[in-house]
This record gives sequence, C-alpha cells and structure tokens, in this order.
Amino acid sequence: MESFVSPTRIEHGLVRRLTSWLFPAPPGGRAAVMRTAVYLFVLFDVLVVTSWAVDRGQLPADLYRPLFIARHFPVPSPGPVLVPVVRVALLICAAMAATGRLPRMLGIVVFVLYLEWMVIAFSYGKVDHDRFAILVALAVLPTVGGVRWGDQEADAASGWALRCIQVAVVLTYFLAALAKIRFGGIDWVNGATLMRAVLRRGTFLAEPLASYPWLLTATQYGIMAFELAAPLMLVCGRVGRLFLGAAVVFHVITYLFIRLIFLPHVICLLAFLPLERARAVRWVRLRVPGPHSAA
Amino acid sequence: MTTAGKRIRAACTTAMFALVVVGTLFWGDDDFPFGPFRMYSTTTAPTGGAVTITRFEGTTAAGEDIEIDTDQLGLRRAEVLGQVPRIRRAPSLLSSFARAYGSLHPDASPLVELRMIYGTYVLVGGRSARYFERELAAWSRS
Repeated sequence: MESFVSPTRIEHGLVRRLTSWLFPAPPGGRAAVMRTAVYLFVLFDVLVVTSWAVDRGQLPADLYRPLFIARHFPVPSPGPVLVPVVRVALLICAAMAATGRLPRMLGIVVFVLYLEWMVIAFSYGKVDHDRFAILVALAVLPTVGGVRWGDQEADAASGWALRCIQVAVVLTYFLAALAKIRFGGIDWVNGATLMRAVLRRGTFLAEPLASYPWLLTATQYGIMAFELAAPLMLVCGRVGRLFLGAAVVFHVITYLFIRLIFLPHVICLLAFLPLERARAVRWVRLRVPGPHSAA
Repeated sequence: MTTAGKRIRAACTTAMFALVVVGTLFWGDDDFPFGPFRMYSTTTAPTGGAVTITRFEGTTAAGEDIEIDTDQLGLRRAEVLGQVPRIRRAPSLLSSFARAYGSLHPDASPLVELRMIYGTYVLVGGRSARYFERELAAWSRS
C-alpha cells in the first residue's frame, strides 16, 4: 500500500524544525560570555575604532548630512556638548553592562546610545557596512536576562539571541555578495576591483600583487564564492567549523594586504563558538598563586 | 520560554532580516542600518578604467604650503569622497573644511587657502599605466 503524508503534517513538521532551529538550547553561560565580549568591544570601538567620531562635535554644521533614521526619528544633531556626553555615557554603561549587572536595562541603554554614536559617526558622507551584526547583537542581548559565566543549564533565550547574531553574520556575507552584483555587476569579479584597493591602500605585502592582475581577479572569484556560500556557516559539525576558519583567514589576509578589517563584524563570529568553556576566573585562579589557590 | 515569547521573538527575527534583505536589493547607505553591504562592491575596468585618490594642500597664514591629511579635517578619506559631489556644486564648502581644520588645530597657523586635488591612475591591462593630477576645487580667504 502506498504511504501518504498529508501536506499539513509536512507543514507542521517544517514549522517544528524551524522553531527548534531558531530556539536551540545551549548552556546559558555561552550568551553570558558573548555579552561580556560584545560590551567590552563597544568600549574598544568608541575608544579606538571610531575614536575619530569625537571630532564631530567641532565640525561646522553644514558638513552634517543626517541619515534617514536621524531625519525621521527624534535624534539630536551632533554638537560640542552632545558628542562628548554620548561618548562618556556609552563608555560607562557598556563597562557596567560587561559585568552582567542589570542586563536588560543597561542593555537597552547601550543599544540606544550605540545607535546614536553610529548616527554621529556616519552622517558625514560615509556609512560603514560592518555594523549590522553588532547592532543585532546589542538589540538581542538584553532579552537574555540574568545568565552568568559558567551557567551549564540549557537556555532557549540564550539560544535565540546567539542564533540571531549568527544569522546576522551570515547575512552580512551573503548580502554583501548580492550588493556586489547590484552595484558592480558581473564586472565585479572580472574587473580591476582589488587592483583599485591595492593601488589605493595596499600595504608592502600587497605591492608585489600590482604586477599580477590575474591573481587579483582569481581572488575576486574566490571572495564571491565564499560570500555566496556563507549560509554553510550555519551547518553543524565540520562544514560549519571549516567555514568559520575560512572567514577568520579571509579577514586576517584582508587586513594584512589592504589594512581593512571589519572588527565589529569579526567580534560577532564568536557567536559560533562554544564560549561557555571560557572560564576566566578559574583560568586566573589556576595560574596566579594566592590565598584562593589550592596548596 | 513561553509560546508567546517565542512568537514575538520569531516575528522580530523575521522583520529584522526581511528589512535588511529589502535594503540590500532596493535601498542605499542613507537607510542605515538596513542599507546594502556595499563595501568594495564597485569595480573598475581593467583597461581604460581609472582609480582616483583625493588629497588636500593648504597655505597657512604664515605663508607655508602644507599637505593636509583628511584626518586633520575631522573627516575620513571616504567621507571626503562622499562630499565630492557637493563640493563640485559649491566649492565654497571648502571653507567649512578650513574652519574644521582651525577648530581641531587651535595652535596651528590658520589656513588662508585650501586646494582639493584629484589624483588619477589610468589602468591598462589591469595595471596602472599613467598617473596625473588636477585641482578639483580651491578656496582662499579673501
């Protein structure tokens, strides 16, 4: 007799599988470590990566070209008072949030302040394109609540937050490939795309490459293939790990050759790792002799 | 987690990711954070194509000609490029750059002239074959 599975049952099965994929249950400690890493990165971002944004307060107003969100939402314009105030408030709140205190309230405040910092930084003629994953991370981390480093208990709220960050990372690669097709067309892979980057901002490592245009063209094919295949990063096991490794290598090489690193995006790659195994306090106790160490 | 909690989270996930997909296909940089990820998404023709760079030269009140880095104007290189169409339409915008230089370097001799220069590499066979410069805009305090 022919077996028959009704379409509704298939649909239900699909929804169940999608739900369990979107809400995995890793140990709560994983999201706790991710939270610390992301908020510490916010400090590094404000002090180093986007440190130049503090000069915005001194710039004449006619150089300010507010982004859509700044024009349509009540976002204050950068000025000599606002910029340093946002900066200091963001540094204090991110430092407190990194400790895991008041995760929901501080998390929301950091998200809002960071978004304002982005508006200040990117409303002068250039938007950076490596911020999506970290903004998603800052938006979802407050929902995790009171998990702590070392928590081994399975936690679906942590699972969802980490899954969102993973998807944001993967989408950044995949949609970057679509943007290349949209703006550069098929010429992106065949043209002098990387040659332009090498001429403009190549390091001493990249200089010899200016004599080998074919090698740069081949690399363009490689980058496009890598980005289009990025959803494989979400596959469990060896394929996913291999792809994660490839992503790290890609960012390191890009930095060494054209001094370009998408750090806010790179930090979000941590969401793919079993971070709950990180035990900073235990690591320190085992290595630093003191009253708490075993005799 | 409750079913309602799951539903709300699933809806947020869908909305967030739908926006960024729409942004990639139809929107631009202005729609941050949902605009397209267009880092290095444009290209240059290997033959006949041109790679351009922008640099600034200034003359101080002390009569000294100096090379000015875009950082010294409070802007990043790409931001200057982003403002180029506006500078073309209204070269007087360079006076704002000169003022920015003044407020960021209160101890330096102020600028009395500022010139924006476009350098162009012309490519042949994917390699740089020729380089030339021209002045895109100039401002002088008068």
